[in-house]
Amino acid sequence: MKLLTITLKDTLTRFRDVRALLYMLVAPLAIGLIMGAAFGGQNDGSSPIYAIPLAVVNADTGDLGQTFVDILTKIEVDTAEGKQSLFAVTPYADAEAARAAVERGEADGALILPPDFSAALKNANAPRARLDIYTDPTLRIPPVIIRSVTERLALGFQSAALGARLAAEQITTAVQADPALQTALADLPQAIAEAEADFAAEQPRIRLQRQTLGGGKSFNVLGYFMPSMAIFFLMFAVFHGMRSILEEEKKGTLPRLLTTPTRPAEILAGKIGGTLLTGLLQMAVLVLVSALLFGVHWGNPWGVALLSFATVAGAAGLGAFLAAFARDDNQAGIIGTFVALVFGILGGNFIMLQNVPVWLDLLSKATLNRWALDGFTALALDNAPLHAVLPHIAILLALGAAFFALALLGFRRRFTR
Amino acid sequence: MQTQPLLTAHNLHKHYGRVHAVRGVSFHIAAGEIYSLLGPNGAGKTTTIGMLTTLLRPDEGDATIAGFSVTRQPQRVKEIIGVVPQEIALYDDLSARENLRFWGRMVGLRGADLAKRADEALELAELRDRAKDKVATFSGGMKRRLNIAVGLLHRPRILFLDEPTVGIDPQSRRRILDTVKELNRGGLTVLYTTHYMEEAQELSHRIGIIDYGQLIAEGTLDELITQTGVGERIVLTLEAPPADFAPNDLAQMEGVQRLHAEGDTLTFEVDDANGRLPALLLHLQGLGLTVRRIELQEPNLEAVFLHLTGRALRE
Repeated sequence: MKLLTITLKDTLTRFRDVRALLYMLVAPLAIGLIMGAAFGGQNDGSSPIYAIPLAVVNADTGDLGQTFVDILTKIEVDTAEGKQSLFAVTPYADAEAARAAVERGEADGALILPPDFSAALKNANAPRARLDIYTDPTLRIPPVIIRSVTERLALGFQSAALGARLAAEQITTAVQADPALQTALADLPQAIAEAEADFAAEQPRIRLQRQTLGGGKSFNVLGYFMPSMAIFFLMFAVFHGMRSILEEEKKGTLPRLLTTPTRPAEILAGKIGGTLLTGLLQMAVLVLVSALLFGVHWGNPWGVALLSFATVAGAAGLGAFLAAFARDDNQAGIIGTFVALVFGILGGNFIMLQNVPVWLDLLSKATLNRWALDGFTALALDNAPLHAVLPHIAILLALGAAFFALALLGFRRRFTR
Repeated sequence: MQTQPLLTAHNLHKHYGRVHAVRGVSFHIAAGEIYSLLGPNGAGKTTTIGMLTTLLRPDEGDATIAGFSVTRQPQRVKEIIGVVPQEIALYDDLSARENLRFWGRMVGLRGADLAKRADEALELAELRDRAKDKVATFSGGMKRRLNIAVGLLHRPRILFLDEPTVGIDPQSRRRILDTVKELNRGGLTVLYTTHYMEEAQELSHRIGIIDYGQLIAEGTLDELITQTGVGERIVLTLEAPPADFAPNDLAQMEGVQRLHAEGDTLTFEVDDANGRLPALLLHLQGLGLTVRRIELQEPNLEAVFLHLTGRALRE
């Protein structure tokens, strides 16, 4: 079967090329590890973050401030050693001392609860209370966690307090409208106080559920950066694979192939097959090596396999499209490198895209990299099941098919002389 | 030699944009014949071969090989032709044997037959002891020999050799020419393109001279000499001729049929080289010119080409 012969020849020659191996396998593993280490702070990248040193100043004159601190202290995450506290909370007397602790590196962040914290939550007419958070600018992940957890916790307190006030107002209105119940009015302050006490008592349970990162799972830094680098360098490898059609044209092996009794469609299919097989083997090696040597958790194996195939197919389609319409292999190389870099940056292979502007988020979704990365991070970080990444797979395959269709038009024009 | 035409090209035309690269080329090659297409670079040799090997579609005209049309039955044509392109069309990262096995599969060979043919090809290319080495490690001559061996794997009825000796050392060139002759003695028909006259002269049963996309003459060497009427040649190299020296006056001398002057070299086409040489030398001495080198040439392809085009082939 000639198609298979061409596919295997292309795969063999690619894996014999030392330079190709460098950017296919060595570079993504090395850079993924470096980025994981750089952005992981104190975390080793393969185990969950816990016991984040947090300096807390509770200046609240009421009782809710202490509840807030208690909840922070009780948040737990799953680790290899069992459940561990997410924060190692150290109380400080004042904001100055807490900030100094951060500057000295004794704490990754400081949280300052103001004196009017409880009053602002209980009284609708009181000015809004302000929580101050200070974080170590040299760290990446812990500050994100501190800000995220604190904001969510504060939002929960605000919602609960508002709910309590509304309930009280509704009870008061109902009692005033019904003289038979007015006798109960005298008991209302006590009832509200009890409700608030219950609310405070309920908080740890409710917030514990909300405040664990990633829906209760560990945050794996390499689970983000390994797929990122795998996708980024896969683009280069796959683009190069499709560009090899033009290299063969220049070198004379493609014209020679066309003089053999082998149909042009078979030759093209063989070249595409070689690129797909090379890309799949590249992904397989990256997944296995990073999992076995560095403990990277990639998630659902079927999801990883199908998403890898879809990513390779999408990239091969784009690579074929670029090759089909490029003037020659040099131009295809320049354009391919540019596209791979831009897609890598836009697609989130170098920066996390959680807090980017809406327009950038939309632009990012025009790239193969983004859909692939969203799928891989869903599998790796959220332990998403296969069906959760089927939309990503479908979009990648659809994009690949569209690019292939356009590429065929270009190749038909190119090789019909 | 058999006389039945194996290849017939009829009125082939090919344009590249506004360039009319091949202009109505027609010729035939008999089975068992070595036919050389001789012409300078850019004359249209490779484009003609491209059309005959189905790589390029003629804008006009057609060709048949063993009765199969290159435009209407390209797949059948591909099964019976062997092509050795001008480029080293091999995979550098594969070994010699791996290349042969790959190309063998592309021409439909399988299993034991493929292995046997690959061994034969290695023998022919004299690369048996380097079979496992990557092509990237080979010399230019070794690559050229392997390039030819690939074209012979499926024992084609006609072999197209497009400038197979470009850029290699004399020893490798000698080997290749001997190989082509040996293959032809075994019955292989060969279409050989070159811009080296001595190769065409040595190898060919018949020669077609192509220039500016047109076949301007065709026949055996003797036929070409007769057709063009070229005579013997006296080639004189002068010792520092003066700037005002006007060589065209020498063309009027008795017995001189044609004169070609290039730099300090004068090429006289004469009816009798030995008889005219003394008079020429005396005349030049009379003009105060010193002759540094004298060469007498029998009528050859170079003279034919010069006669037909007015310029030397290497121009």
